[in-house]
This record gives sequence, C-alpha cells and structure tokens, in this order.
Amino acid sequence: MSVSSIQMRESNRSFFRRLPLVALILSGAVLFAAMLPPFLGERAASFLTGGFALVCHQLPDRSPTIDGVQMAVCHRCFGIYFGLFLAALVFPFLVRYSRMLMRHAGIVIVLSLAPASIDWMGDVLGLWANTPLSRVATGLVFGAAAGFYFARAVEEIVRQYRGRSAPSESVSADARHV
Amino acid sequence: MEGKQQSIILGGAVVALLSTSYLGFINCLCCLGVVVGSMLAVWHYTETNGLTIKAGEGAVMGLVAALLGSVVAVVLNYVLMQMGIRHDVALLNAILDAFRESMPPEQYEDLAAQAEEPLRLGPYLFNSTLGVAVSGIFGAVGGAIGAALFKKGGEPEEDFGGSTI
Repeated sequence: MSVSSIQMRESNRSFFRRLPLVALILSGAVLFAAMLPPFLGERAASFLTGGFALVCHQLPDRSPTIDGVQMAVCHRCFGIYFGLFLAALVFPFLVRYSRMLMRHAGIVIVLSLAPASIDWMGDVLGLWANTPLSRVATGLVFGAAAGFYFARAVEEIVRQYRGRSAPSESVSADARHV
Repeated sequence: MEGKQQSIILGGAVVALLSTSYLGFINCLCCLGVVVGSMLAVWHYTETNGLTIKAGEGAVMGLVAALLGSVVAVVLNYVLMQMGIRHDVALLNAILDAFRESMPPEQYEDLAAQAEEPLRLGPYLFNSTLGVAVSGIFGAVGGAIGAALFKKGGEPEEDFGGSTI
C-alpha cells in the first residue's frame, strides 16, 4: 500500500472521528421530521404539522411541497434546519477556525442574519418579491452559522460527559498508593 | 447553583411570554422568541457573575430555559384558548382569506375544517410535544450563541481541537 493511500485512509478515519454525531443526529432528526408530512398518512402528517406550528407560520405559498403536499415548515425554516444539519456535517472542516468564530461570534451571527433580513424586509416593503430559492438560501446561511455554535456546544457537552465517565487519574494514583 | 437557576427562570419567563397567544407569532421569525429568551438567560448569568462560560454550558442553560418556557406557554395557550382567545384560528382564517383563490380545494376544505374544530386537550398536548422539543433545540442554539457573545470574565478561550485534518 502506498504512503499517500495510507495517509488518505488515516485522513478519512480522522474526519469521521471528528464528526459531531449527537449534533448531526439532533439536527438531522428535526430536518427529517419537517420533510416527512408529504410521505405520511393524514393523522401522522397532522401531528408533525401541528408540532411545527409553534415555530413556523406554515403559509401555503411560502412552504415547500412534494407532490402538492406541504412540508411542515416554510422555505426559510427549511433552509435554517438544512443549514443546522450541514454545519454539523462539515464541522470537522470548520473546527480549525473555531477560535476565530468564537471570538467574532457577534459579527458572524449579525452577518448571517443579514441576507434573511434583507430578503424579508425587501418583500414586506414591496421592493422586490422574494422567491422560494432566496428564502431557502438566506435561511441556510443563518442555519449554517447557528449550526456551527450548536455543534460546538453539543460536542463540548459530549466531551465533558466522556471525561466524567472515564476513570480519573487521581483515583488511579490513590489506588496505587493503597 | 442559585445564580444559574435565577437566570434560567428569567430566560424561561421571556420564552413563555414570547410564545404565548398572539405574541407567539414572533417565533415565526426563526424561533426569535425562543432564541431571545435563551440568550437572555446566558446574558443574565454572565452579567451577574462577571464571567465567561463555555458554549456547552450556554447550550444547556438555553435548552432548559426554552423547555421551561415552552411548557409554560403550552399551559397558558390552552387556558387562553379555552377562554376564547384563539390565535390559532385567527391565523388559519387569515390564511384562508389570503389564499382562497390559489389554494387547492381539498387543502382549503381541510384548513377550514381545522378552524371549526373544537379545542380538545389530548390532541392539543400531543401536537405540543413536538413543538416543545423543537423549541428546546433552538434554545440550545440560542444559549450557545449567547455564550459566544456574552463574555464578561477574563478566562482565556480554550482551543477546541483546532488542528487540521
């Protein structure tokens, strides 16, 4: 086996090891649930739609549809949830910028909200008509930014939990003295 | 940790207020009510104690504040809806009026039937559980963002595995 293929395999293994699995599962579950109604029976679809009604306006002309059946959330929320999931997926590539992103969190969040705000405000003021693509894309920008901080936070919690579960060095040292 | 409890209760109160009845429509803007309440919980804790907390800690505070506030909002909404303040029906009727011409007839009839349905506790609670869960996730997001934004202490930022792949 060549050195470069060994390095590639090690790199892939390292990438999967760095994936924030819990954040990926949580954000993926929310995204999946939001997309499910067109594939479900009436009762189950109604449950999902009713659940997401607390966090989304679900206006018919501003929500994605599959075969004419509306998803549980609007285009922008779909973009946000997809962004949350995408951020968890590419987190291993973003972690090298973690210090910078944490230091400038305010600017990052404000900049990530700007496209959605401009897109929404322009439509409300009648300057332009936003489109499903613009709503999804601007939602995705904010979702990706928020998703980085969410994935980072969840990873911290997981690491702290693993640290508490592992036997501590001081206990081992005391045991040796006894 | 009394300070944390106070901050979480404060954040939860704001989430509850911004998730109740007509005020709850603010959550249609990227769950703004939930995110604001959870960020407030983190801000209050860091401001009161003059410290910087980790993103994970902020996420947990935000999650608890959001869950607490959402549960309170579910109860308050049920009480208000039983008293006849039906923000959900008002939204449905607004949608029906606005999209009468463009909506498929079957969808229009389904929504019209929903608007006429009486409020029942079982289905209401059943539907609310998913909303509370989603609010929790956005509460964690808001708390994580709050921890990154509100740094009142001098603790240096930990390097979070910044090595390259």
